[in-house]
Amino acid sequence: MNGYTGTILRVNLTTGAISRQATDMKDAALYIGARGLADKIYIDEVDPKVDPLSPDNTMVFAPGPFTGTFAPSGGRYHVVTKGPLTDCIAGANSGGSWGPELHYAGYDALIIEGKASEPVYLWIKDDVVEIRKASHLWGKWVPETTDLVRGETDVDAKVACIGPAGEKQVLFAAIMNEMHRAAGRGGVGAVMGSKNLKAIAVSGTKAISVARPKEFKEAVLAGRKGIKEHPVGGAGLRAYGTDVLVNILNQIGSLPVNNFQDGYFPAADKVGGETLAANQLVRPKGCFSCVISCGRVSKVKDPKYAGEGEGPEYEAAWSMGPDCGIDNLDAVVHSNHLCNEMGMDPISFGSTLACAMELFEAGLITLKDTDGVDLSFGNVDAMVEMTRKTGLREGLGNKLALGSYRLANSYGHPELSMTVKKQEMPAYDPRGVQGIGLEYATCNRGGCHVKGYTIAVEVLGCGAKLDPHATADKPYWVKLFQDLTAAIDASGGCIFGTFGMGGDNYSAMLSALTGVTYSTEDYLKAGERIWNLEKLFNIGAGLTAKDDELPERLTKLLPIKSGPSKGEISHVPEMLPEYYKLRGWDVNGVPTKERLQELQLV
Amino acid sequence: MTIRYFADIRELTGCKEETWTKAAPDLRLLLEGLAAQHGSAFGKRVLEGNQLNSTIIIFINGRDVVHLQGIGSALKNDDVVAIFPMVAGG
Amino acid sequence: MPKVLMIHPDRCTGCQNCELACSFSHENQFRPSATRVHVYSWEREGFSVPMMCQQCDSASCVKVCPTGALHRAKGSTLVEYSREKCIGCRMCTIACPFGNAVYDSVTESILKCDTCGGDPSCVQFCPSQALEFVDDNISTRSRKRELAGKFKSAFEGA
Repeated sequence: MNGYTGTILRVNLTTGAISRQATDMKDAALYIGARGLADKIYIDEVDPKVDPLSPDNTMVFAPGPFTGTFAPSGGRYHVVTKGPLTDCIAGANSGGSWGPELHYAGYDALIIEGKASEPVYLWIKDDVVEIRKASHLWGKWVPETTDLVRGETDVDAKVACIGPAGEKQVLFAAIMNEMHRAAGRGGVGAVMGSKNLKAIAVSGTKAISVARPKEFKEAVLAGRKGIKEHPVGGAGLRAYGTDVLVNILNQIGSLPVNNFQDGYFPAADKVGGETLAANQLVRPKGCFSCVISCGRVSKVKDPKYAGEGEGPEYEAAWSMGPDCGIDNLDAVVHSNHLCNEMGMDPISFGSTLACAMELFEAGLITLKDTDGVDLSFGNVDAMVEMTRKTGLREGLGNKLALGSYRLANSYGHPELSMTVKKQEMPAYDPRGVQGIGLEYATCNRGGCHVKGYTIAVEVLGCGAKLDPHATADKPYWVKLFQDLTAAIDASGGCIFGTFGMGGDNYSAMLSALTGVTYSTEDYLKAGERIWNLEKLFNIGAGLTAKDDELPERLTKLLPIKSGPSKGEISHVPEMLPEYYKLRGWDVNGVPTKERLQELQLV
Repeated sequence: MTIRYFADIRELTGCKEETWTKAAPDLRLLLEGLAAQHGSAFGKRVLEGNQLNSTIIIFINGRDVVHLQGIGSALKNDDVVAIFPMVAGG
Repeated sequence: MPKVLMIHPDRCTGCQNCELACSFSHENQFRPSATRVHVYSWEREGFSVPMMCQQCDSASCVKVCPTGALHRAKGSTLVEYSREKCIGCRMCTIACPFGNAVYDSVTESILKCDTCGGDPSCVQFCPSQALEFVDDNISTRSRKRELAGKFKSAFEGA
């Protein structure tokens, strides 16, 4: 068996039962691994109407075949569940080195069922699996939890854990590994908290074998060369990190400001990657098997915000920066450190805070509600204070912890929540960049950029150069990116590998590793299969075409007010019918029998 | 005309932004003028012979010149020109 | 001119590509225990250090080895390991002050860096130039030059 271990581990936290089952290799061939295999296992077993925070919900953690090999930037794992924020499929992806360790321990997937009666953590050391008491860890933040769990298991164990945000079921709580890497979105951390599962510690010593080693090495070297010679993958990301995007998006007038009230932020440079590199960056950091090193080890010296950790990424710098009208990078770096340490998604947090700020400025949230905190846009102290309060669910933070949709809805103004499927949209204004708006609207896990990152071709000129303001061909490109990303996610690869590698590289590596032949077409087809499987689950969960919509502010009510994209709105409604058609779905966005048969889904 | 520099281009020009008062009816002439001012390292970064360097992105008033007339794009005195290397995604 | 493996921890990003290359070049598979180089990371500070056999001139492992399995050939820069002479007593793992000699129960042998016959895979795979294979009398040259450059900047700025 090459690239796979052949074994799936199942842990039932209600009964304490630990069991193993064989990996279905037909499924492995069709769904590859990681996101694909975890989706297949989860969707086969779980009722789409399940309450995400109930013991009946399941979590599936899975590395991909690449995970633990030297496939470039190929060390990732995926966790699939139903998201409490969105009430639909939630899949979060993380780097670091936890995923490879699970693969080395001998598992293609880890299924967590039920709920423990009191806090526990899981200790997996190859074939030996224990459920251990964790009451003494409950309440502890992520760094301390990681150290303590290693102290009780193995000094070199890899630890994935939740902090207070997950324990308290903040609906956008994250699962953190190696302290600073996140399976961030959708509330996967809240699901783990609802199961009383504090951490999963892993130590693995088994081998991952390769079907055709010489061919695999050559394919890997070709991939590495592609990345090294690419300006983004080779040097740009290492020098500046993703935060360099702040100025790029601002210069095209598509940097959302003040809860998407505008698209241009004059002070943007103060929170951009150039400023981060000069002021807070200590050194770059790379995940397991990564050749890019986009990670930022960061430190703030200002005593008010002093601390060290990693990040911020572009999305986090945006959400706690310009989206809240804030231009203080020290404060943003500090709040990002807090989000990591408490285990919380900074994108959903920042955007929810921006919504709260708009509600405050409209007089709907009062000083009484905020315990005297002035929640106006631009208030740096308020942003930092609310970061902590949201992670700990204190004061108004208790309401912010439910996400902007439930927050705005509770004040009678759901239209002020900048979400799709109740998940906060990230840092690209869909009024100025049309294709990414279609990705936001159609992404199976809710408002998300990363599963169909058309910014690469609409703004960054990588591969193709599309006009961000145009709608022509965008449905084609969104589908292509969504399918390719799903296949890469399923392989265990980081999508930044696409800055230098294409479908040909990926399919060549996967074929040589597993011994299963994938053409580039097969590879994309696997991605399309995964996308459709997730869509079927969402339909079962009750989602309809109405959930593939952006807020009316963006499609109708509020053209961008200032800057280079002044006057623009999003044309997602015009692009959606063509997207459904290309996907082989009917006018309501339901996959047709023909397409499902073609994809071997029926 | 306002010229803005980003990422490592700033190191080649020594500044983030400058006002350009010399005549520059199109992008080619502007870049040649800037290269004469900031030196050959800058020139090589933005130009490949007499074409735009393929790893450079230039916006004129927020529009990528690739969707205008490329290196022949016309310029007016009140335009804002932003020069980026291809650097990132995220 | 003899060469040594030089590490630059300040450039290390903790990616572990060196470990993967090491395992693969020896066994054509990825097995964590098969690597002769290990990377140690401190998450809070974001610092990582790759560690492998230092090929000591006066090697403790050679001194304690009862069979000569660990030996240094005359004129060689490497502490070599002859598996067929090894009795698995593990004295070398106790003697090495760096902990760089490791016993592997799967292959029932001692694992220590052999520089891949003079073309180290770890150096080839490191994406950050944190590992170099350089002439031993100038091994610190790049670091010396970097620091010298700081003096240059200081004097130029004055």
